Amino acid sequence: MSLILCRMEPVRHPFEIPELGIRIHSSQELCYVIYENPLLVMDDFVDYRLIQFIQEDLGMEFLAGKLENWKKSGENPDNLLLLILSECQYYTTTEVTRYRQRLIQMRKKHPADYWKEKADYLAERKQYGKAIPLYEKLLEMEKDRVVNDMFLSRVWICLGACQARMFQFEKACHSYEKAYACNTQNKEIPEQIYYLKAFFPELVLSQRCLDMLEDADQEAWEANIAVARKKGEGSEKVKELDELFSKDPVKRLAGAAVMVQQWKQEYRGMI
Amino acid sequence: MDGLVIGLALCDQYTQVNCGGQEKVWSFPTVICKKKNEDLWFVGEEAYGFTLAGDGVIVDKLLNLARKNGTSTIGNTKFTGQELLERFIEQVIALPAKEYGTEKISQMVVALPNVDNRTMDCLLYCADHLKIPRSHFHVISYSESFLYFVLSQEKKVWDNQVGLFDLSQKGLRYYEMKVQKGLRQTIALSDYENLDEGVDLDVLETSAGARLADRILCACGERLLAKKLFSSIILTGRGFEKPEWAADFMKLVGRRRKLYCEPHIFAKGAACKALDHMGKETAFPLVLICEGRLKATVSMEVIHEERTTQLVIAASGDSWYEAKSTMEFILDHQEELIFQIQPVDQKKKNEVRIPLKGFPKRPERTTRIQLKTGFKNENTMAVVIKDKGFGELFPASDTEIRREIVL
Repeated sequence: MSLILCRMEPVRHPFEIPELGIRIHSSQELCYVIYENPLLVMDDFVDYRLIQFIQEDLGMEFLAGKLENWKKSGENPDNLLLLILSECQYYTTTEVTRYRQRLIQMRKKHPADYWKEKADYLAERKQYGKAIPLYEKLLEMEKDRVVNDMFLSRVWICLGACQARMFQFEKACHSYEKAYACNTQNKEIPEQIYYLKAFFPELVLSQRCLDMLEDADQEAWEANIAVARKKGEGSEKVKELDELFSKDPVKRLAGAAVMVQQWKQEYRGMI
Repeated sequence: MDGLVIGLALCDQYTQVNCGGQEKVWSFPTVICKKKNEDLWFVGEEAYGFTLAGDGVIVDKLLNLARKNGTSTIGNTKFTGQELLERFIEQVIALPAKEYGTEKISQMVVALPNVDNRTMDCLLYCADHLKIPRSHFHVISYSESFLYFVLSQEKKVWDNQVGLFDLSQKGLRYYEMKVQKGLRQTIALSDYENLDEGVDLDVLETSAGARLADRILCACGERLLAKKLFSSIILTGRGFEKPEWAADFMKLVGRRRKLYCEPHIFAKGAACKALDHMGKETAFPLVLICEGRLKATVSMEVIHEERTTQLVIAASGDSWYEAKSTMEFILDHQEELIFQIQPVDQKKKNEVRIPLKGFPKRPERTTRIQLKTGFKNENTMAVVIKDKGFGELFPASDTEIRREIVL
């Protein structure tokens, strides 16, 4: 039980982390992001933009100078992260040591596992535009004990999901097709294609896809779609939309402009 | 002189001005007069002169008028008490400015018989009006001024206790000070008592009245000085300007100790403090405990650089008016704030706990709180605790707790 005394930090230009959709305003928040999101920060997080933020906004000139020197001399990027954590003193020495172990374990992973985890992490945070190239990179990897058909099938599924979220339905369908080709035992893949077609009826399915769907239990899938539709109708966002359209034309237009702006912002964040 | 270092003793009856390191003292009634049909202002005896000649309109009790947000109509213009006080102080400062040939004010200390929040504010607005930076302008009590004056004298003057009798038209006030040497710090304490034995200064005009007043003061002196060891006794105030009427009293208080008559002690004490502000280091490395200063230290246990440490929010001897602070903390499994209060004259610490009720539940170490402290008077600390969230990761709520802690 304790109180941690915060240093006064004259942050005028908060540091933006688009992957999390936030801006950070203090050294404590910076440490929290580093500690809780190792996959986000392990590659090139400590760049000159961050060093400038540490120096000018957090007023930690000594730390910024040290980071800059270490970066110039090609120091291990993990050490840069650990230096930030220990200098800011938001986490205890024990916690920083634990974090170091976590980084070591992650670095020890097979590159395919590591990059898959990173791509999944980005996809979970709706950073589809950043996740897609990572999935594509994984698909180019040479096959070995980790990169096998099962693994590739999972990657194709994830890639398809990201493409679908970005409204690239044809590409998504193609990815699911590829995923099925790698693992024909996975019955969820035809189901995803069926949902894709239901959501975007203009989608033209290849003969292979049509064959996939032929013997499937489409009634159960239809029931799932009906449940999802019902759930969607009752969602807060739909209610907001209904409310907006019940307003007079002037207010509706203004509200719609705000909403479209939000959607645009969200979409920009994805790509 | 580079800039004026002014000590000002200000009350509703009189005003005294002294500049640091100078002997000259200006002393006059606290009144201001505006010349009829002209924007000319006069203070003190000059103000009386114009008023008696029928050329001006006088206003008195300026401090009280400003404190009570009062107004006064002169000619056809209504002036607020604050405006009149500002004009008065402007005129007062003009006296040393003319004498020493500079208008620049390096430091200014105003001593008041009693310090309260409202009067302090009025005077600080005056400083703003006169474009004196707040760091160059201080308000203290007469008790503190007394301490500064005595401590600036030779040590033999304050080796033991020092008593001060202030006899004015308003009554008799007795101040006492002592210096306590401790292992860690030396403390200079001063306190005062308003005595019922005050005499109307008009009775001193007759020999019978003077004899009676002398007898009253003797009884008072015997009571106050008994069983205590004094190095010196000081007499001040209008009543002691010509102290011959109090022969017996002076004989009594001057027995086995030094006796001084210093009519301008509060202005000179204020000037001592102003002069002290000019130096890089204080010439008075003591903790001063008196009216206007805190008699207890308030602290909190915090983690700083991974170590548990006691963070002092306000220390005993700090001016309560200036002891304001804002700090931020991160809560780590902490659901309450614990303030530790250590009175200067006691060994035991008191604890005041403020539960952080209504604060949003968040993961540990993701709640930042802002703590603002200030003092309403020397015994009451006002605390505001605000939820600041944790940036955009955990946005702040509007939760706020306000408490007053009696020290």
